[in-house]
Order: sequence, then structure tokens, then C-alpha cells
Amino acid sequence: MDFRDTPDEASFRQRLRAWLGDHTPCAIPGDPDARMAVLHAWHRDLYDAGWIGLSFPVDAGGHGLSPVYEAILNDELGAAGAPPPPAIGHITNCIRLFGSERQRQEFLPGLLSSRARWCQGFSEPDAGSDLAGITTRGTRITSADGRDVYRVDGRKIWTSEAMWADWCLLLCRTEADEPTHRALSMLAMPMSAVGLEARAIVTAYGTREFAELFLDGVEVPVDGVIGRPGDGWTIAMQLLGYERGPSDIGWVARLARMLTILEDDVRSGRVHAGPSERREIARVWCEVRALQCHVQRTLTSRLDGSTPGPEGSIDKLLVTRAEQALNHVNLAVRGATALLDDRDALESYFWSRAQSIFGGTQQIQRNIVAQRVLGLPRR
Amino acid sequence: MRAELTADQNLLAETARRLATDLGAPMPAGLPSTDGAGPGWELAARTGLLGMQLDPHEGGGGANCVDVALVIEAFAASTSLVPLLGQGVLAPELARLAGADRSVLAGMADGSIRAAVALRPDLGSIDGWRKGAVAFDARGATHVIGMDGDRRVRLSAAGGDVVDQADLTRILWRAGTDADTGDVVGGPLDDQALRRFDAFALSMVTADLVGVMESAVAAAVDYVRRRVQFGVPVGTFQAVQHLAADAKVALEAGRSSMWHAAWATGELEPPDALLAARQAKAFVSRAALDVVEIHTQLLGGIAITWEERAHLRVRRVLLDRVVFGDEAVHEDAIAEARLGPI
Repeated sequence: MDFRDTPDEASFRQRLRAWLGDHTPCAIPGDPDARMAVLHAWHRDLYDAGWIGLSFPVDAGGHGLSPVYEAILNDELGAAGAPPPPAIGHITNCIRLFGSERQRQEFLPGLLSSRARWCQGFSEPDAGSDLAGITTRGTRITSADGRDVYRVDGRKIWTSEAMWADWCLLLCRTEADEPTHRALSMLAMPMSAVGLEARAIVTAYGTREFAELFLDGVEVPVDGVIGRPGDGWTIAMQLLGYERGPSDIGWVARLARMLTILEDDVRSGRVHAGPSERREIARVWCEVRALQCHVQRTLTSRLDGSTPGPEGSIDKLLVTRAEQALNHVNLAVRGATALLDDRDALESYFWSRAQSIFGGTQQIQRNIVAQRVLGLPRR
Repeated sequence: MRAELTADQNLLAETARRLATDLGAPMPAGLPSTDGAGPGWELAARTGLLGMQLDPHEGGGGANCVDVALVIEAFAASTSLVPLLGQGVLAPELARLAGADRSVLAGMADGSIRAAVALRPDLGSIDGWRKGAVAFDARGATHVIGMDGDRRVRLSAAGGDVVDQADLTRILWRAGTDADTGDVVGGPLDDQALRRFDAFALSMVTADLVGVMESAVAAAVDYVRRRVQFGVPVGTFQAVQHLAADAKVALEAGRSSMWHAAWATGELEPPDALLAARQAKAFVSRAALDVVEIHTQLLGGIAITWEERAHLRVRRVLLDRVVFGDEAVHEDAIAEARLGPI
């Protein structure tokens, strides 16, 4: 057991730190389009410097390193106050693991380099936690110009960054006569397709990263199916394991950064904290440290290349707990300032409430832990 | 970074679990008297579990802190009556850090010197064996080990009154006016050594808490799978499943913190080791109380009966929580370390 970097990990961290020292990212503008432009430029810089796809196999365009290196990247970006790396993990894994050779050739380079931008179309207005309730339909037809296509009709919601995406990884019902677990397919759908409209959803905290997709007779060529028709459910279930691992997305680094800023503000006297508030800050530090130690354990269990199992839900529940506790303390300690002059504290608070909703609600994660980790019976 | 047990450590944990299980988890009705030697001590000595962290030339097994924590956890999972934590692990560590004579260390490792650990009246830290001090884990003890005002480590003759206290699986004595001041066996301890001892003690008490949490979750899950109401096992109800899931999350996060603290105690400089140990003790003290309360809820009515061993777990957690300081004590210390003086 050793919680420290190995010599290789330490030298990687050092090189990354040195690079970050020379590449301070610009401030993130508030305007959604300008914000996205800055983030995309940042993602391309990260790729060009060789920091993206660290844990992907070399034949998929990655560096063939262990997932620990992704965690180091997240840590260091977080500590430097830089925006996180692009959240391409689960879509890249989908194409890498289930795509055809042609799809891998066509899609992986653009995904990794952020030259092609992807969004994920899973959730629907009536299928949130219950993915089996998906009703968006893909009907196999011959198009007017004689191609084999799926004609897709339906609605998708909570599609992150859809307004700026070139492609959508779309889950829809293509096998009408099969039970749900064999009825869904995963399609690579170009966002420029005719009949597709994306409308931004304005969040409670005023940002526009989500969209709703309206699909009205959108034609997707049949060679856009990832895996085989009917594999969609199986693929989606495996991808959710990746989406739930906080180490894969960089939540942990974001929390650590926020806590560090709060601690700095208290230590310097910019923000006053009395004895009970100091104790609360320490309590949340203990929560965040527990999360970090646990994520290190989870990462280690994946060093042999195994895919994330239902235990990932423990990580998701922990990150939720830590994030919500941290935001409560942040609001409490900052008091009126958090509401009067500090946009970040409020936005972060709203985000923390979303944490127990997206990526599978807290209740779904508890079901998974109870049934698939502890082995309690289903009804 | 490798946050995992080695194959040898997994084997050690499994062996310790089997030993502890063979000794039998006590039932409230079958608890032995408070003045006997208690079961299992010879077996623990024979299998090399006493002073296992001492060097082989001191009579120990050269185990690292994680190894020791795994054994403590395994015995706690059976709410074991064997005073392994105090006499088998903490006492030899204090003696070792004080530079005690080989004969003392070897005596602790072979089980002939059975030293309970002298704590302050509030159980918050090590103390000298004087009026009001409390000897921790005193079942069958021949001595009490403590640290006097000059930070010298002393070994006193056994004595004091049995304390009527919460935890029925362990014995505490309180020193009277006639407490033996004992003989100096080593020291004085410098700041580094004292921090090292505190980190070690906190990590090991945390391991004890993790063991109790582990058995509480297992017992509760086992019960709700079997208990039928409304024609179905109550474990099919979502409200029940969510409580069990919360307990599992607390347990695993606690275990990760405990591994880290035990590792840090052996590998990091004393201030960092102590901070890691405070984190683990604070986090797990909260978590363990949550977990045994969930387990009480899931076991239903039987959990509040004398016959069922559920209350033994609750009692052990309540005591472990305050031994070497509860979460509030450590959170305040962490705040001091990270935020500066108030």
C-alpha cells in the first residue's frame, strides 16, 4: 500500500505542473458562446500538449497509461484553478469498446483532440432515471435518395453542450418487437441533420450548458449504429459505470479547490469563522479527504484494466455527500456575502443540488448499492 | 499510487478473521466476569498477534501499521473480548517508542506482561497512572502502562476499581489514591515520538470502529434478507435498502480513511501522519455511530433486547468514539492545523 505517487507518476505530475505554469488559461467569460469558445480552445491546447487520452489504449489514440494519470491531470488542473479536461471519457469508451474499425478511425481522433464535439442523448422527458422508458424511435427505412437509414422521431433532454456539438451519441428504440433490454440501439447522429432542433435549457443559476433536442424525421445512416442494433441498453449500462466514477470527471479536484479557497479566505481573515464554523470546515475537510482516499482505492482496483462495477455508485454517493456538505458550509461561513456579491458561491450551491440528480439520482445509486453491492432482493 | 492490500495482507486479514470467529463472538448472556483472564489471550500470544509490530529481535513479527490495523479490525468485527487493542498493540507501541528494555517488549509480545493503557479521566489521551486515570482494555491485565508528567513511560502494578461503563466487551479500571506509580521503563518521549504514538493509537482505534461497522452492516443485511413482513423480505423495501446503502457507503469510506491513516502512520512524518489519523478518527467516529444506529433500526425490536448482540456493537462504538478523543476534539485540532490559531 502506498498513497504517494510512484516515481513515474511524480515525474508526470512535475512535467504537467511546469506546463501549467507556462499555460495559464484565460478567464472564463459569462456569455455562453464565448465561454464555450474559450473552453474548446483550452481543450485543444491540452490535447496538443499531450495531456488528453492518458488512460486510453495507444491503438485508440491514447497514451496507454493507468487511470491514475487521469486523476493526476484532474488534480493538477483543479489545483491550478484551470478548467477541467473535456468530459469525453464515456463517449470515447463507447466508440473504442463497441464501435466498428471504421467508426474508431472516423471518430476517435476528433473526440480526443476536441476538433469534433460530442453530446450524449440518453435522457428523455419521460425517461430520466428509468432509461428503459425511452420512447424516441428509430425506424429503418429507405430514404428518398435510396440510402438505408433510421428515421428518428422523439425528444431528448439534459443534453450537455448540445448547442455546440457536432455529433450526438443517441440512444433510441429501433427493435420494436423486442423487450427493452434488446430493443435499444446506440447511434452516432450528426447534429447538422435535417429535422433536428436543439433548444437551450436555462438552468436555475442562469447558465445554458444543457439543451433539449427535438427530433422530427431525422435520418441517420444505418452504418451509424455503434455495436449491433439492439445492443444499446448493454452499452449504456456499461458507460454509466464510467460516468459515475468521480475520478473520471474531475469532481474531486473541483471540491478540493473550492475547499482550499474557503480555507485561504478564513486563514487570511477575509472571511470570519467562529469556533463552530471552523469545526464545520474541518468536518467537511474530513469528508473530502475520505472521498479522496476512497477514490484512490477505486482507481487502484482498476489498475488491472477492469471496468467499473456497481461499486462506482458508492463513489457517486460519496461525492454527492461531500459536495453538498461543502456547499452548506461555504454558504454558512460566507453568510450574506455569498448572496450579495459572490456569484460563484450561489452557482456552486445550485450545482451541488444537481449532483444528487444527474448521472443517476442519489436514490437510484442507493438502489444499486443495496441490490448489486449488498445483494438485497429486488421486489 | 497503490491504495490496496497486498496478497499477504489479504491472507493476514482472513486468518485474523478466522481466529476471531473461532474464539466466538460473545453473546450478552455469556459474558465472562470482569476479573478473569478472559478467553483467547494464549491463542493470540501463540499466533504472534501480540506486539506484532515490534522487530523480530524484540519478540515481535515486524508487521507494519496496516497489518496491525487489519488484525484489530478483524477482532473488532467479532466484538472480541481479547484485549488486543490495548494490551497487545498500544502498550507495546508506547514501550517501543520510549525505548523500553528488550525484556519488557519481549514480555509484552509473549503475553506474560499484560499492560492496560492509562488514559486521562476523559479518555482523551495517554496519562500517568494516578488517581482518576482510567486503564483501557484491562481484562486480565498484570500491569498498567502510562506516561508521567515528565513524559517518562512507566509500568505500574495492576490495580484500581473496575469501572461500570458502557462497553461490555472491554474492561476499564479507575486508579484510586493507592495507585502504584510504577517503574520507569523508558522515555522521556519527544514531540515526534508522542505524535507518532497518537497517530498510531488513533489509527488503531479507528480500525476497531471499522471492524464493528463491518459486522453491523453484515448483521443488518443478513437480517433484512430473512425477515418477512407483508409477505416479502423487508429487505425488498426501498426505505430499508436505502438505509443499508447509506451504511455501506459510510463503512467503505471509513475503511479507505482508515487504510490511509494506518499507512500514513508508518510512512509519513509525524505531523502529517497525525493529521491523517485525526481525519480518520473524526470521520469514522461519526460514520460508525450512523452505521450502528442504522443497524439497530434495521434489526428492529430485537436490537433493543438484552439477548441480541446488537447493543454490544453500539456500546463498543460509543466507547471507541471517545477513546483518544471524539470527532469534535479532532475537528478542532484539524481546524487549528489548517486554518491557524483562532
